[in-house]
Amino acid sequence: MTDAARFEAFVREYQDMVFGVALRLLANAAEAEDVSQTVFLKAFERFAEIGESPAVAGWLKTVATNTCLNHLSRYRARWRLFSELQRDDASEGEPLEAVLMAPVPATVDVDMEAGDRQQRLECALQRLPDHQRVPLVLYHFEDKSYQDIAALLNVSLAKVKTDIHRGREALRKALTTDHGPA
Amino acid sequence: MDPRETDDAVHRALRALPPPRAPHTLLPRVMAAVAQQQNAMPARPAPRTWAAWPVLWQVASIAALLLLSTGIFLVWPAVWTVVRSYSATAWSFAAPRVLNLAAGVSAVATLGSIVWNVFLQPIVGYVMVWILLMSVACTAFGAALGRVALGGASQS
Repeated sequence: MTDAARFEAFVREYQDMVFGVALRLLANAAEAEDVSQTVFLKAFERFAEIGESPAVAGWLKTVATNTCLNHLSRYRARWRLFSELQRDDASEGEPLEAVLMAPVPATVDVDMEAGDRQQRLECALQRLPDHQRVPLVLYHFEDKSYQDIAALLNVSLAKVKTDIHRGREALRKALTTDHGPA
Repeated sequence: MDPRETDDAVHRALRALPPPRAPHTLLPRVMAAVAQQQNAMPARPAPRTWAAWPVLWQVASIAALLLLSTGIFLVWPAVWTVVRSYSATAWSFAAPRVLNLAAGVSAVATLGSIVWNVFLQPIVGYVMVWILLMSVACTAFGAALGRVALGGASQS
């Protein structure tokens, strides 16, 4: 098997995992795809070292997480200045749960209760603001401790706990509030 | 509901979410980017040690080294004699010019010293204060810009 074929098999095996980490952290499919490509290019540069390593999944997750955090702090904050600030002003005063309870896009399995519930939760997660969603994802999906998250995000431990608590509350409301027909 | 139960319920619900699937476009994108990267940086052949050279090249390199050493050993005394004679001639030719150049440099240095003492020294203090004030203003502006535009605001 050639190196290119081996690397293609490698990407095929781990692409869902890397994309999943990026999508949960960034809540944007296009940006998650860009970040995933960056992560795999980094992996390609070190493929001789990591290709056969049993720790490669952990390495990929770490690189994906760091690349996402870097992306969020470097690019999205600048973009926010020109776009989201206006939106934030416009939605000022609107309760977060109202935003979370907004109708979700219809899908094939929207009539299935479990599927609907999961879709609502996924949608609610993606609608959380960055500063709540990122620590929440790191805690619940990446199994990071509060201290690790505080160190990763360069914020205080208290802020991490507060943001995760508020994010959970918002998700809990999204899960428990009765909703009308989609 | 107990807050811990709430946390556990949210945790279970989140962990039960199906993992996102990568889009079909990701794999071709990655492979295309890898191919582009490989084309941009053509692979250089790995350097080979002398022991890995073909025997013919090894023999030739030893012969070339011996030839070079012998040539240097035989020719060096004659070269050294020529170099010594030329260096003596060159120094006798260049010495007066070097002295003239040194005198010129000394004159320019004296002129520079006079200009400094008369024109620049009285105002250097004010210029330094002005530079300091401008630096402080730029730093404050940069910090404010970073806070508002480049991410500081999103941390709050």
